[in-house]
Amino acid sequence: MVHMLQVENVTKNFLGLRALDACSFSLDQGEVTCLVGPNGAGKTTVFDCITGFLNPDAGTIMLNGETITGMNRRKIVQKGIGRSFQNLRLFEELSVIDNVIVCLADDSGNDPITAILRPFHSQKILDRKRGEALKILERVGLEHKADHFVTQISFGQQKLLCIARVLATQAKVMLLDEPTSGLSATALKNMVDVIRQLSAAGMTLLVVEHNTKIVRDIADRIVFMHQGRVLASGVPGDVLERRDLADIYFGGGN
Amino acid sequence: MNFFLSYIILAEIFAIVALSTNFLVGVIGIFSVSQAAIMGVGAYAYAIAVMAGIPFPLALLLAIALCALLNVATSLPSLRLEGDYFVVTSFGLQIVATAVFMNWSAVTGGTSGIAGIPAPRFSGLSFDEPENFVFLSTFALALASASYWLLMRSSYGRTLHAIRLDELAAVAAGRHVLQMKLGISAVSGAYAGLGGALYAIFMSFIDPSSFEIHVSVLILTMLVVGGARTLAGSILGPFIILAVPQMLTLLALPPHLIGPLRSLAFGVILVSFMLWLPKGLAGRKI
Amino acid sequence: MLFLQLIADGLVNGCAIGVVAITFTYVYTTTGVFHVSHAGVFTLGGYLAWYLSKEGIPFVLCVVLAMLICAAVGAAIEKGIYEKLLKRQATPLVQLIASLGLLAVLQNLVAILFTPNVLQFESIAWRMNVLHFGPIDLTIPQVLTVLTAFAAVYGLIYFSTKTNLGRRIRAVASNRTLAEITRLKPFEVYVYVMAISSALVVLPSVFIGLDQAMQPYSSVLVLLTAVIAVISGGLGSIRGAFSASLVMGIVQNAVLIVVPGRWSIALTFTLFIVFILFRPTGLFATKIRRAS
Repeated sequence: MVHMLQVENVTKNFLGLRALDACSFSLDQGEVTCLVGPNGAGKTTVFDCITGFLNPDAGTIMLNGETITGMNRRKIVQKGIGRSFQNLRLFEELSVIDNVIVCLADDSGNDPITAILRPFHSQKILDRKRGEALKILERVGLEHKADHFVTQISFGQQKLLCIARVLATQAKVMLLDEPTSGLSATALKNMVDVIRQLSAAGMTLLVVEHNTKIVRDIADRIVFMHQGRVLASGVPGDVLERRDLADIYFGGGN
Repeated sequence: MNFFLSYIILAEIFAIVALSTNFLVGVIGIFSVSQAAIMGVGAYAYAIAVMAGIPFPLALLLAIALCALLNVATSLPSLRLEGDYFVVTSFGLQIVATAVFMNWSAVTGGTSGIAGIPAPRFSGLSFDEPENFVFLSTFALALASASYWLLMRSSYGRTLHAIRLDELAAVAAGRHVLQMKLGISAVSGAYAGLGGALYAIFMSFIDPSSFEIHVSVLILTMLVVGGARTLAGSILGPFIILAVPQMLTLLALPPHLIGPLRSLAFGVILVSFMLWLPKGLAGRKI
Repeated sequence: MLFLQLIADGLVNGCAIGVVAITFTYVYTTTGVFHVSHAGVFTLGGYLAWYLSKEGIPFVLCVVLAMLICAAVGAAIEKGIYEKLLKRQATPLVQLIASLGLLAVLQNLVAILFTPNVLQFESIAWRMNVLHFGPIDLTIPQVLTVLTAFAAVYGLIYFSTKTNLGRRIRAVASNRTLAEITRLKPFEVYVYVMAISSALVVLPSVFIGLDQAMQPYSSVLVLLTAVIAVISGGLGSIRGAFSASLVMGIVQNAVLIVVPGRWSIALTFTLFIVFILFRPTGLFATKIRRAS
């Protein structure tokens, strides 16, 4: 069976440390997989390797059967993998809708010739992109804040905007880095709802999550990492019952 | 009257070059100290072309295209890399250009420069006179301004802002960042080339000293004072800065000190603005 | 033999470039600031020594005084300008523009206080004396350039590895963000680094000035060559930067056989472009930026 995303025996060394050690796991289409583990386990490094920001020293990564290890970052996005960041990385001086427009997969109008020599065409492109961006904002419930600036919306809304930006890239696989951290109860519920809706619509999600309750809530599968290794992967029922993993996670142990 | 018109014309020409620098420094956020060099290439290219018999519009286009290409070619190696490579490239380009202007005498006339650059004539009207030339320079600035405005409000412009704000996030969104930086590099070059060509026509004489590094510093000062990333700033800056020398002549200073004193003043202005007024008078935060 | 003489002269130039290179790199790798106005301090140092020697002060004292004054200037630049900008999280672009402005201030201050024209150390009689080393002739200033350069390099290496302050500076350089959290007090360190670098860079300025002549605006070229040498060498250590500068000096001079001196910078710059196209590793690729 061809998995949507397959990470196979990926190893990555940095500055003498083994950040990832023969990691293997797979994601299936339409499923939410939670990536859990203590800090420093290598979760963000996994994201970096999948998205091409880092080159694995060994192992392969495949998207729908096609090898994408070491592929150009832009091509990987075009192939359908998108990610959000732990520290948001929103475009702070731009409006909410401009944040989405900039991330749209549609690259038309992104050259100086069109902008200067074909102003009407350029405007049409912008209008069309605005329409697309609005639809995406509707999916995360932010359409009423479209023209607000990023600094004017709440933290919870900012995190939803991060999701919207990934959606804009027409990703088929979304890698979300701690989408719920720091959120209030209401914002949390919103975020979980959005993640569920995306999954129901066929999106494949890999979510770094620290909150066990949320993990139980949204995860179809769990991958547990520690010190660069995948210690367990399976359905939440199995993984979350394991005492040894709980010790590692809550003991923060070695 | 002529004197005032000359001031306006020069301010307009430098506004076009300030816009050129604005694309790099204000919009993309990369340091540039080679604006005078590119302006010089535009000036020399135009002068050589027109004195070889090429008609005005074609010579102008040639100068603009050459400068656009030059900017792209010299930026490409360093824009591919993270870090301060671009700074070294910019300094290098400026210094090498001056060396070429001074030493490639066969083409550039060496330190003597090129004199007698003819002004274009349209239906009997000669742009020799400042009264007529001011229409040309104003029209050019209007065109440059309109293009700047169109560029910045387009999808491309917004993406350029995003690249400045968080390049990594722009890459993560699938944007072809290098290509877009090269694109704006070309536009920046084109603007500087236009400014250079107009300068050559207006002054009818160019030499290497007109395009040395202190002129790049001058243009940067104009941008910093007027304010980066806005149209208004790039136009205001030159008008203000070009008025400074006039004020200095009011003081009775020995002539050999005027140049260094001006450059000293610009240096002080650059440091002061960076410390206390980085937005300039009409710009945005850099 | 002409060729050997060219190599020897190249080595001398390489030594001068080398001190500029290691002092610039010292500031860059510790503070993260692309300290363009280092070229201005270079110029100031040479002219200060010239002025003091004209006033009849013994030569060695002139150099020492010039070094001390420049150390103070460097410290003032750090405390008065760079520190303020760094504490404000000013972008590298803003830092660069400020440094460029400072360069203009220093160069033109020198031009106004002394003269914008070319200057020579007329009051130093021995500057033209030549020493013979077999087929090679070197002037005393040239010999001193080499001697002081090696002294500066080994002095700096010793300082960095054997003294507490030197080690503290290296600790800060290796991780600036961490340095703030631990008690290393990076901003204090930056002042020392700027003072040391500003003092040392006076040496090549004085001796090259003695040997040839001085001009307020030529130091940017020297700095540019030094930075290109370090990048092309692709090395991050003090010894590495100095070695790369020596090679650069020799190559620049050896090439004079076929290429006229006025095209030297064009060649150096082309070399730079070639290097970053094919081998961009080294100093700038390993630069540690402040965490955003």
